[in-house]
Amino acid sequence: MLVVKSAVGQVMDSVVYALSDGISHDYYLVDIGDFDAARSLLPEDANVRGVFITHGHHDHIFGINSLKKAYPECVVYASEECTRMLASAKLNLSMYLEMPMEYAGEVTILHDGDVVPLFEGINLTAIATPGHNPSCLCFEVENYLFTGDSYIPGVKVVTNLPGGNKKQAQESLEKILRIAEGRKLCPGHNAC
Amino acid sequence: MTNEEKIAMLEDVLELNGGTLKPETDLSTIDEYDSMAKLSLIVMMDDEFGKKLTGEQIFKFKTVQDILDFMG
Repeated sequence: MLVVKSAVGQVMDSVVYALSDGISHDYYLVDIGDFDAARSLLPEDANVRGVFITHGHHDHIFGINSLKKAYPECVVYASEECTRMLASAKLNLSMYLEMPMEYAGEVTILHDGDVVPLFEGINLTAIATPGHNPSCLCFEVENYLFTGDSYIPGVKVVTNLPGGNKKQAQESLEKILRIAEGRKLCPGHNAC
Repeated sequence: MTNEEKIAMLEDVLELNGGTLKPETDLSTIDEYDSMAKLSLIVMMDDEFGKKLTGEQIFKFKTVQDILDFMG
């Protein structure tokens, strides 16, 4: 059974989620805005096998270098556009906030519909949801839906940052709402 | 660039309808002027005007005119 825990980080109050099967020491993360927040969710003997990035804004990736230092085998999963943002402090906006960060390590690129096996009988499906940003992905795992900033219940989707597209955001929102029916929503801010 | 053009850019950043903002508009009365909009403003100043806008400077902005003055 999938176990999901969350913690709010220091970087613009973004949320880090830790996924486990409740049996093994294996963990996967969704977003890594703040490594300390992620660490608060993990036991000392955790084996972090991967991190799934919902999009390339700094508040969702800021802790990635600390994560890779602590767990070098951790696989980074993200969209192709996100890899460019990870590698550019200008594109991921950290430069503008006087806290520049970049990550130019390996990334396993995910496309819409890609499926990644996480645990025995538990898979993750990537769903492309551009609009807030072209790099946006949502992740469906069992009855959970991780929506990043593509959908935060009660909050208008932000499209006024570079790469934002109001029309795409609306289309993605409709797609998310269809998929979300009967699922537990886990947004990138305001934890589920 | 005229003040009208600058205001139109600002309205775009804040996702407001054209004609919403006036130079004397108090920024505290605009719901859309939130943290994300301020970040977007920082990006616009850098990309469009080549000006570094700090958080401290943003804090000092009280009216639309203050932003227009910063745009130069």
